[in-house]
Amino acid sequence: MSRPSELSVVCDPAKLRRVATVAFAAGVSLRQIEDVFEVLLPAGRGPDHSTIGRWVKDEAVKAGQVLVPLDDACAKTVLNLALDEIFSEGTRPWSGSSRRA
Amino acid sequence: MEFAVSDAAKGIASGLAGVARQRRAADDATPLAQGLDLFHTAHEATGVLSRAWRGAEAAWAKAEASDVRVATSKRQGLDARGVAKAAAAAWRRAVRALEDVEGQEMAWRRARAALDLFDAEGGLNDRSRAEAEIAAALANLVGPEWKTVGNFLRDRRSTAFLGRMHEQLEEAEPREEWRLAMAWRWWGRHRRSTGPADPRLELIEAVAWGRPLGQAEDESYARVSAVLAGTVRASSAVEGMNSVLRKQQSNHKRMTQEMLDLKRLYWNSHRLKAGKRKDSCPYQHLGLRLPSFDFWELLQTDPGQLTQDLSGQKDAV
Repeated sequence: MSRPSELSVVCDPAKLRRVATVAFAAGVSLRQIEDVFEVLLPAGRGPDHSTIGRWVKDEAVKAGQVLVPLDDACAKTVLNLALDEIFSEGTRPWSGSSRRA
Repeated sequence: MEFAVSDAAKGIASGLAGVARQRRAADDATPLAQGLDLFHTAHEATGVLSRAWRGAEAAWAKAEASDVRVATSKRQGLDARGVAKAAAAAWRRAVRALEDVEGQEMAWRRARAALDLFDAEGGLNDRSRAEAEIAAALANLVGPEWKTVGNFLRDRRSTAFLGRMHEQLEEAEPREEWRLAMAWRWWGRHRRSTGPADPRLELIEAVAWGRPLGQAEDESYARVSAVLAGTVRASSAVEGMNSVLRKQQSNHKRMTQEMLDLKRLYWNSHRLKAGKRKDSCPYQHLGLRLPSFDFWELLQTDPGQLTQDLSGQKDAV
């Protein structure tokens, strides 16, 4: 039988930042991430909404920089491109004008 | 990029025209063609047919109800001539509606088949044949409800993939006999079974499709296969991606470019869990060689170092 210490997960700030970023990239909202941290961590030890938002934003900026060389490499190998347009700003007009796949 | 497939959005066409202009200005001779997505045409046609079937079924139900009225009148000893006349008219309308929708469905199937890579016998489809078939089918797809489908089908971009496929096939296998034979073999090995067939024919075809090839034949088959497997008619991939993105949009108040970048990197390095592309991520499928395909590790990579790592591969490509 495993001791509790073997089942525990280290949740240092770096790990929390990683969890928040991966969850957000996978589609989980900041509020939902905050809720999950509240369940997993002792009361008052979880990062607040603005901290999670800042972590995710900083990592998102890094993603843009990493994508520059990756996009360049991909562009050389892509011969066929499937294109579509999607609205991502404003009051979500996509829900009415863009048909679901 | 040599070929883009999309819906009929003017913004996309305009963007592609811009790319083509930039290439011309830079003396870049790389071809750039646009194909109209079969997905949207088929989706639109399915909607029209569904509505037509519902109309025909409603007419049928009315005719059945009028029969009940005739029977009731007769049972009650009333003069049933009036309701019988109405019932006969209702049945005429129902039959006409049913025949009409069956005709539309057959015509659409003909148009849809014109957008396949092969005909029913495994012969390669071509653009002029497809356009002739579409024109014939459109003669029976009339009325305002078919206007959008008709516009999509008449648009020459709908058959652009066939022109491109033939150009690539000729390049891959210049010998016409070999090209057709290898394409037929590919069709036989990839076609969907359409039910019981003549067993003698099945035997001949199985021998022809399953026969081991010599080295030259094998190389020819590989080249032809690559073209056929890479012929794109529908933008299903991007539609699938959009369905994921839309779901995520409903979770987030705002979707900034940075957020999109984060999600793009995540999905491009995300190892697929199921399907024919299982166990690899999109970057791997594209043939990129990276020190790691782990999302987090990629995210922490120095962009300058990544540029250096990838520049060697670029030269190799």
